[in-house]
Amino acid sequence: MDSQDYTPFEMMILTAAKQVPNGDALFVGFHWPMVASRVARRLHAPDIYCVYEGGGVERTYCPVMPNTGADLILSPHLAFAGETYDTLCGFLAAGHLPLSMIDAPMVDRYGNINSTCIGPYRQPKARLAGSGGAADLGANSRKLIMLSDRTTKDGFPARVDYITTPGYLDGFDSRIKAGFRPDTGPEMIISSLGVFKFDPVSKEAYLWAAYPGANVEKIRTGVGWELKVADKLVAIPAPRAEEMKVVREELENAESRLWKIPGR
Amino acid sequence: MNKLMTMKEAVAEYIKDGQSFLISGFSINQGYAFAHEILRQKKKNLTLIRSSGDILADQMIGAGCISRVISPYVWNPTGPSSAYCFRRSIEKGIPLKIELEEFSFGSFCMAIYAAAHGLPFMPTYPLEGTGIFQHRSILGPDKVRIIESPFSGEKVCLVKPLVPEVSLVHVQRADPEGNAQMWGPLGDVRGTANAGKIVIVAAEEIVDQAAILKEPYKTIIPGFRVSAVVHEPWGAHPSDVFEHYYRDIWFQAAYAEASKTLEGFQKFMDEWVYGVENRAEYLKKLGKKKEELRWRKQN
Repeated sequence: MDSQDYTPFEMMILTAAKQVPNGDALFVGFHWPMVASRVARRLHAPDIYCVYEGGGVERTYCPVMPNTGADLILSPHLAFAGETYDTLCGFLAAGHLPLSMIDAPMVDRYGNINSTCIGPYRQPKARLAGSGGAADLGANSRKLIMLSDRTTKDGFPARVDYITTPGYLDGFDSRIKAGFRPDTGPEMIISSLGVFKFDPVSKEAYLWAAYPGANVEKIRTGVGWELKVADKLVAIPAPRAEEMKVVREELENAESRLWKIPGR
Repeated sequence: MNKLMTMKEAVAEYIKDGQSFLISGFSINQGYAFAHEILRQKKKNLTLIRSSGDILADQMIGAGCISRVISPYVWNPTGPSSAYCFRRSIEKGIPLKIELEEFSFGSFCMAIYAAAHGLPFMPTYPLEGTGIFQHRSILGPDKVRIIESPFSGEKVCLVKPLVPEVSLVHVQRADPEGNAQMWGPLGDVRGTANAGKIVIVAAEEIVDQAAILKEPYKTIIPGFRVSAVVHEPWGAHPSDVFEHYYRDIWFQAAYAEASKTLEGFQKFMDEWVYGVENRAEYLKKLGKKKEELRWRKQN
């Protein structure tokens, strides 16, 4: 497809979906991870187990977009209906899920996510939802993929106002010193700007891959720190028309269930 | 023993101004009928403990009956949208500034587990470095403490028991003695029900004890733990109840729109809470919508 025929946001969803290997069990956080996992299931990964914090584990595709991972509209597609103790405090925490995906409306250079407040905690300019399971996903995910629909510095500050989901905290070994397991932590940020990975030593996010037609200088202006770029920047291939068709169908599905979709 | 009461009686008897209470339900099986009756009875200065704040917490905060909230988050999942009353409270102190103690959902579950199981504390997942660890209000330094594991020497976060004075629990069915059954995904409900010092159950259906004994594996809390039982069909609307009804996302969206302004919120509450005598009248207002939401056999 020609790069005028799809948006970076749609590429973000598709790129996230492609990270999901068929047959794996993954923890699916609220919002864009739900859309990405549905796209993955339809395109190449029909045999995934999607684990949700409400206690359900989804095994087959639900034609209706759920409101949250705990929406009972998913019922006929669940292979397991247990408790939060089983999923968030069980399968995830005990390390049985090779992959997790989480929404990252504001994420900083060390992969810390803020979904709690804008401005000072006690007197915020805007109060947001708070953690839910987000802090636990940051603590226990063996490979955490963060999804962001943002393209500007307020979505990628140098330092978030509040750490809801712990990433690499202050970088380097600070995460380990704070008591987190060495085999946990953020793997990448897949965003509408491009894909970021973390430096193995400093743990700072750098641009690892870019979408077709992307301009690296423009990407730099979208993040709040001096962005480093991979020596060999990966060029993400243009999507196939049938891939974009599935992405759009799922976004329409979400919209029909009252989701707010960027650019619509 | 027959513990059946009306919602009005149960709330009048068990919810006292100034106390802590928990309403079960992580997005599903949310005890809205409990919440609305507490609002109608104009209870004051309460501490709400909840796994998912959701619209339910937003309404109680907006109504000014809650002074303290202990919860992992408060929002409206449809859209998703802000929980506007929660925002007005935190950002502007309208109608009053609540004291908020935030946990991660996992740590909240561990604190509930400690309460339900009579433990002095529970270890939980690492929190150091997070805002949840840094900011403490209602529970102060006791919110989370760190020890060195006596087994491995590594740092371990601990939470102490989170014991609600009353747990209010909405389930699919119960017998008059309070043997309460829930099935499908359970979210927090088994844990939060069993954490309460006093437990009140509301059920979609009241059944004979024989029906309970036939399927005891569905019971999440036995009758001897339960003080009162309320028959409250559709008592969790607009949330969903397995094999009874689906989530009313349209109602949740309408609430988001209405509650953007203080006036809109008050009008919504006058219509759906204060303007009705009880849940039966609420359901009359809901009318035909019930048919669209009613559980269908799916393949």
